Amino acid sequence: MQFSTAEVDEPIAVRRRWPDQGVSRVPYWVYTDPDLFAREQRVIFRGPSWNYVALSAEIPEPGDFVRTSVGDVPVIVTRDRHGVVHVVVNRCAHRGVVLCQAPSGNATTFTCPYHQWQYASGGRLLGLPFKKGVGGHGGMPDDFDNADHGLQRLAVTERHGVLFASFDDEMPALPDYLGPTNLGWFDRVFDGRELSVLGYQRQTVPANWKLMFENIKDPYHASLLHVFLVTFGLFRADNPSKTQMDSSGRHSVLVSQRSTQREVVGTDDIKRVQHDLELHDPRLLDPVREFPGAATVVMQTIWPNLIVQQQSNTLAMRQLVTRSVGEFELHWTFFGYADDDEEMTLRRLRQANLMGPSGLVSIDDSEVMRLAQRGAMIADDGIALLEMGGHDLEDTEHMVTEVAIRAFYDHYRSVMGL
Amino acid sequence: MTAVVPVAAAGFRPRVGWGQFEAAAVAALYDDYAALLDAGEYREWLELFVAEATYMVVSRENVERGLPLATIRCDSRAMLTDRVDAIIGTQFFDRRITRHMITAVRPVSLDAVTLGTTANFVCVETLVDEHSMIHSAGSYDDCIVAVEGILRFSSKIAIYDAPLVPTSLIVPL
Repeated sequence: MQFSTAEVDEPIAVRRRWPDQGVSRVPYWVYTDPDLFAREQRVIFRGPSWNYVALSAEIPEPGDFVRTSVGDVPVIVTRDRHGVVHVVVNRCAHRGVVLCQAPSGNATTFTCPYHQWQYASGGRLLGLPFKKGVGGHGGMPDDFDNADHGLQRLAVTERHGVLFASFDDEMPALPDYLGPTNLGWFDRVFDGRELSVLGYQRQTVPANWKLMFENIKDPYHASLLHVFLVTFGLFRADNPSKTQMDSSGRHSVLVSQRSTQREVVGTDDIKRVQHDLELHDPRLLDPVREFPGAATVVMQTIWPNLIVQQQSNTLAMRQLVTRSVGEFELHWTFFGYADDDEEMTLRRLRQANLMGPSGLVSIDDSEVMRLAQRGAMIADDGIALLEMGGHDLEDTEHMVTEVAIRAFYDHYRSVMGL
Repeated sequence: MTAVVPVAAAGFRPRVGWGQFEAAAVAALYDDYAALLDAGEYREWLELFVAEATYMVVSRENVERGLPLATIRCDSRAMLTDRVDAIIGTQFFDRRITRHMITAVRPVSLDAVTLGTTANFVCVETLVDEHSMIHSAGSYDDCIVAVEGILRFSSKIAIYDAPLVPTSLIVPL
C-alpha cells in the first residue's frame, strides 16, 4: 500500500469556517481537530513540500543510514554503495512491518524480521524466501515481480549538506522552493563548508505542531518571555531586527543583532528582567562573530517541518515530527563545521545550554506551548488574535510584530482549503 | 582545557573496594543530593560540588554514538550556579515536584584522591494538575572527593536512557 497524496473531499471546510477577519485571527480548532490533523498529514507533509530529513554529515559513508520521520511517517535516510542518498518509508511492502529498528547504523540491505523480505538501500526488493515455493508447494504467483514491491521512495534533494525529501515527485528545485531571500539566509549558515554533527536533543511537546512554527515566527514574545535573552542583551525589542518572508508566506526568517547595553528603551514593559544578574562563569556565553554581516540571531522557519537555529554560535536543525493533533516531537541536531577548532566546538557545546528540552531559554517556549494547547482545548470555538504590527503580510524592520504568523496562516489556509 | 567528549561508562564496570571512603558516607551524599533537589534547595545542592566540578546531563543516544553534545553542560560549579540562577530567576515553567530515586551505588574506581561511582536513578515528576509520571531513568557516572573530611562531587554525569525528554528537563537529574 502506498500513501496517497490525492485530494479527498472532506466535510472540514463545511464544518469549519475561518473567521471573517482573515489571518489576523486563528480559530482554536486548528490546534485541536483530529480530522484537520489527518488532512494536514496528507496535504502538507505528504503533499508538495520539501521536508527536512537529515544532514549529509550524519550519513557520510556508503551504507550509512538514519531513521527519521516525514510528518508522522517513519522513513529511513540511506546512502547506497555508490554514495547516492535515498529516502524510503520504513515499512515492509509485504505486511507493513516496520523493518528498520536501529536509530542509525551502516547496512547495504534492510531485511524485514517477519518474513525476511530483503531490500536494497534505495528500497528495491532484492528477494524473499520461498518465492518459488518449497518442494513444489506454494510460492509466489508467476506474475509476481520484485520490481512492483519495493519500499515506497521519496524524492530527495540536497543543498550544501542538508537533505530534504518529498512524497511529491514534481517538486520545484529547493532554491525555487525557498525563494531568493530565504535561500540567501539558508546559504549563510550552509555555505558549502563540511558540517560536523555535535549531537542530538529530542523532546515531546504536548502541543499542536503549528504552535512551534508560530513561536519561532513571533519576535514579539521573544523580547518578553525570554528573560535570559533579554537580561544578557541577546534578543531585545530595541535591537535592530527584521522579519522577511518568501512570496508565499510559508517560509520566514527572523533576524536580529545583540546589544550590550542593559537599560534602554523598551525594557520597562518587561517585568521580570534582571538588570543585576551576571554570569558566574562567562564561558557559558562567549559569543564570537563567525558570519558576515551584523546579524547575531537568525531563526529561519522552512515549511513544513524545519527551523534552522543560529543564536550566537549555537547552530541546530530543529525538526518537527507530528505525532497527533495535540503532540509533536522536536528533534534538535546540533552541529558545527568540520574545520572548527576545539575552542569553537566547546563554545558551541556550552551555548547549547540555551537550547533544547533543558535550554536556559527554550524551556520557556516548551512550557508556553503546552499551556497554549491547554487553552485551545478549553473550547474550540474560541479565536486567537494576531494584530501586533497591523493586519498586513509585508516584511518588517522591527520585532514588534506578528506578521510572519499571519503570512504562515495565509499560506496554510490556501493549502488546506480553509 | 575541559574534555570535549564526556567520558561516560559504557556497559558493566566491575566493583572495586571503598578504600579510604566509607560506604555509609557515600550513601549519605547521594541521599542529600536527592533530598536537596526534591526540596528545591538548589543553592544548597550546589554545595555538594567542589568549585572545579563538572556536571553534565547527556542522552544515552549521544554517549553510545560518541557525540559530545550534552543536554546540560556545566564545566564548573560557577556555570552550574548560572543554571540555578536561571531556574530561580529567569526561566518560565510550571512548577514541578520531583522525586529522585537513587539506587545501586557502586564503587568502580579508586585512587589516592578520588572515588569513582556509578548508580541508577529514576526521577518521578508531578505537575500541579496531573498524575505523577516517570520523567526519566538512567545512570550516574560520578567522581567523589573528600574536602576536609566531607564528601563532595568532583564530577557528575547523568545519562538518561530515553532519547525523548517529556516536554522539559527543568530540575537537574
